[in-house]
Amino acid sequence: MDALQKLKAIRDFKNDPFGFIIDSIIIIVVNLLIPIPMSGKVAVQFRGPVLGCLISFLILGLFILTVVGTILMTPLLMTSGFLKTFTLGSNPSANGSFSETAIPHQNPFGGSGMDYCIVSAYFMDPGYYLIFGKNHTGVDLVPSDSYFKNSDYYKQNREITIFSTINGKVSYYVDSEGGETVEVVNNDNSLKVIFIHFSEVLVNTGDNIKAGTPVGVMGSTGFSTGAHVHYEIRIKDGNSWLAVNPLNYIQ
Amino acid sequence: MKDIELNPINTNLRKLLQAGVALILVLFLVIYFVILKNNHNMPKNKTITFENGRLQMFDDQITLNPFPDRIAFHYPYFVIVKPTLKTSAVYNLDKKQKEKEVKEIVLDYYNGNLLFNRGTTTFYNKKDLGLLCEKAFIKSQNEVLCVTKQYTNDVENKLISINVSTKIQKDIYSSKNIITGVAVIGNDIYYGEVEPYTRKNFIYINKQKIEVSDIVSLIYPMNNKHYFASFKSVLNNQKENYYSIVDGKAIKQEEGKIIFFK
Repeated sequence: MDALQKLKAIRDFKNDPFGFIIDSIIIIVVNLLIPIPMSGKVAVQFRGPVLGCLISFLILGLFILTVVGTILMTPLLMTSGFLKTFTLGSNPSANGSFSETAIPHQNPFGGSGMDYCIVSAYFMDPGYYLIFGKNHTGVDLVPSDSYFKNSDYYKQNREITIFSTINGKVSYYVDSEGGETVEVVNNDNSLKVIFIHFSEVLVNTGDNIKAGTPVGVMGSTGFSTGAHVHYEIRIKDGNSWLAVNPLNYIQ
Repeated sequence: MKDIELNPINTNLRKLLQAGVALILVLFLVIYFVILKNNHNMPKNKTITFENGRLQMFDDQITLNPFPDRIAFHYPYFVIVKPTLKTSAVYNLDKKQKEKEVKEIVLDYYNGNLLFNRGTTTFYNKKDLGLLCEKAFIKSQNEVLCVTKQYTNDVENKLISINVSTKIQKDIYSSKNIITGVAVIGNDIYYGEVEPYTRKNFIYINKQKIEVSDIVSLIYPMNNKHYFASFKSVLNNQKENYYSIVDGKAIKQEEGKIIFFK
């Protein structure tokens, strides 16, 4: 009888090796779980429907896990900024339109010349002086139609991001009127650029950054009547910093 | 007695009758819609006033930020400039309706000619004038008055005349202070000036200097008289006023309100 069973087993293995292995596994697992004689062999008789059910449940479980996971994780991923590493690449300074420099010669929206920006208030604007009784020591810039049409960075992020126009060291602070402010001083300490009114600041004090690094998102914090960036250039004049007309630097 | 005989309505007569009815109907509709359209376009309120940062522009009320929003006035054109929105709306006061809206920071508009700032310079229509005007006025088809900086890093400015064809510039007045507004009314050139440290204000009429008690923000004509408006400022206790200019004197018309057109 044993010899007959062995012969049958060898024949089964030869005819259907995959089925034989599956059957053996089912017999072992079922015998271990249900210690009743013949339970393993009975289960093997119904292996088709049993395996079908198991695989169906497995696929259903994976599907539910994926859907629930996606729903739960999406807000966390969006707020964490993790996704930006895929859209921007791992290097946040990778803005192709800027070249490394200690002297600014581009506008802080990117692009060439003044193509990407409109000046809403000029340097030493008399209109500003007449209203507020103090000098406007920079230029107020807003993005132009060309910026929205052509800026690849805006198309990817849907945020009006301001870039550093020089290489240098960052200072971040909130000014006396609540404006989120970033200053970048060049490496020989001869010139600094100042950006005010950010809604979100993307750099930290002490960071060493290059021209083209995103420093903040345009906003209206502080002494402001609408969303814009106040862009200021100051040059070292003895022990003080002298404000100069930024438009003279933009090429 | 013979019975009255009615004209038989034959095919031709019926067509003529139908055509007549259709013609009368079309005429009625055309006249009705023309009258309706004219009435619809005509505002009920025919004045332009400015009070507490709100401009009553005929029937519309428009809020202006103290800065950088601004107004340019070259009768009959009244321009509302909103630089942060990149738009300027031109109204025609004779027609009492909006003439056009342009996506430029307009300094002045007159008879289809547009003077505006783009980037680092000022343009007259499509022509780059090669310098930046802080304020400007189209004096004629070929001449523009422009208030521009004397030195690029300074607040002091000057009034110049620019020949649009040749771009030749001619100095009219160099200020040691700040020129606040410029206009040409009739053949006279008007401009305002403020001394920042003494806070004294002046209006010049063809170079004749007159001291006035408030900032000369905008100079304009109204009903054959000449006026200037003073917008809210820390230099004038935050009040909007307007003054008439009569015989070399400025006479305050109303406090806390400016009437531009009535």
